[in-house]
Amino acid sequence: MAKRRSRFTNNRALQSATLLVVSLSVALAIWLAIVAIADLPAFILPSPGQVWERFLRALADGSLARHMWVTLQEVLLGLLVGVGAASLLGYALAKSRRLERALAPYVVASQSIPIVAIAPLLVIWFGPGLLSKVLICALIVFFPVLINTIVGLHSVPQDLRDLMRSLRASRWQTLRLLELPAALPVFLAGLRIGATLSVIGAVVGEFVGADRGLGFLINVGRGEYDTALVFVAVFTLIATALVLYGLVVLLESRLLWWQRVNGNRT
Amino acid sequence: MSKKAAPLLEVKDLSAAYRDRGGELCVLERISFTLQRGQFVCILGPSGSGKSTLLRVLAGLLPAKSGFVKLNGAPVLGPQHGVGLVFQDANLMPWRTVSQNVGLPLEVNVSENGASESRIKKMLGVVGLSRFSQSLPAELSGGMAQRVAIGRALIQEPDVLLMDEPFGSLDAITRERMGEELLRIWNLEHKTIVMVTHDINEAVYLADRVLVLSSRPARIKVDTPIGLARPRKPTLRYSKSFGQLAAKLRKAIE
Ligand SMILES: Nc1ncnc2c1ncn2[C@@H]1O[C@H](COP(=O)(O)OP(=O)(O)O)[C@@H](O)[C@H]1O
Ligand SMILES: [Mg+2]
Repeated sequence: MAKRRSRFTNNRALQSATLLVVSLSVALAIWLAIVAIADLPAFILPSPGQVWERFLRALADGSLARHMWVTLQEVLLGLLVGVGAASLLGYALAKSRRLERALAPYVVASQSIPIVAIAPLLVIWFGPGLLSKVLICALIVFFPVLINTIVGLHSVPQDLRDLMRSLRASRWQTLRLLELPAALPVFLAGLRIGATLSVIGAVVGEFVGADRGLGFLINVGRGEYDTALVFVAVFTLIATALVLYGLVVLLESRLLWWQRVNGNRT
Repeated sequence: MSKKAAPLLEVKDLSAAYRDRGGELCVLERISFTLQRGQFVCILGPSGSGKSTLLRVLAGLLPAKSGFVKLNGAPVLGPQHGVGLVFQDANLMPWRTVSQNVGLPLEVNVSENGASESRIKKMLGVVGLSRFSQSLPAELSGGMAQRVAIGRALIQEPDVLLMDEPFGSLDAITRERMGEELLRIWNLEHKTIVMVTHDINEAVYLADRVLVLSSRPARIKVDTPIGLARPRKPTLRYSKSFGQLAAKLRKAIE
């Protein structure tokens, strides 16, 4: 059984790795072809080689790592604050219909304000430093995590709730033994969305006003017609988002191992 | 046990209702019965009549509108220690192994009498799942899952076991086998059992006594003892006395 399962996952990992390599090669080939055929200047479309060169240079002078670290801090702190606030409020809303009815309009309304529109305000209020970016990330992460927390908690079967009540479980015991594990799959799906959104939030914040970070680096590259640098920054952002996403997926497979067990239920 | 012993469970003039859009949905109406320790009672009734509601009130999960339920002489005002619950679906936690599911009550109410480990082990033996202690619910058949649920309900050594159509979602053969299993466990543990079922034959085969509820609002329509000798063998189902009892109950329900 265990053996069959591991071979199955190995197969799938191999398949998706192959797919990744193939699709990357195709993208690279198209890129090369466009550069070769259109013969564009480097400040419009640099060749892969030029981008690679620029990448090595940014790596060597330490600027890439420095800016990336700034963005990563914003992303992670924003994620922490956003997920913390959203799961606490989500728990409260899921527990109290009255609170949900009272707050739901505000929560939904807050979502119709595009984050790009309030980012300048946050920068004005909280300065061009770390704090405003963390708040922007937290805001953008907040909603999907909130919704998934509520949906996850509502998905706990009533019979299991009755069981815990019949055992006279405390609120904390019910949370720990039933609600947390039962809501976890949906909650983690929200976290997965939140992790990538947080990267977007950080870049939006840095575009609006910052003197460091990958978003700032993109602005610098654009200003100096150093388009290769823009590419380097964009790729680094994509890689950051992918790694974060991958970490959440890894967390899911660690915590939700029981979902992969399929039996012969009759 | 003397006849004069106080009843284990006393239900008197019990009514219950759900709040319904604006109004009130009366589900139970003046239900009265008493239960002696060790009795096996089955409750029959049309679907939607209030059988599950009755169990919920007995379990202290739903407050009575009027009347009362007493367990061991004390009024039931909320969930009680000493009541074990079994639901129609096994209602297991899919992230817990069989032995973790069986041991859940001991984790909630940290046990005084004896280490949980050995009690779980013993209970797995009682329900015949020792070999599957580390399996996950997804790996079990319906009958096995329901045995886990029974083990979980019994592990706190409750005075009364409340079962709501516990075998309702099993196929006919598994259901009969689980009936046998339940009788074996009942003999072993000497529990009082209140079991809701929609299967007349199951009720006659298992019970000492059958209560038939009317359609909603439920009243007790028939309260009849099942005098068939024990131990009961599967072939009993084809005997004349069994058929007569089943026919009588069927008529009472219609
Ligand atoms: N939580 C609830 N709220 C409102 N009405 C309910 C609720 N649960 C059950 N009912 C209603 O009460 C009646 C009895 O339900 P139930 O006790 O589940 O019946 P049975 O178990 O006999 O099929 C049904 O008409 C059902 O619709
Ligand atoms: Mg029912």
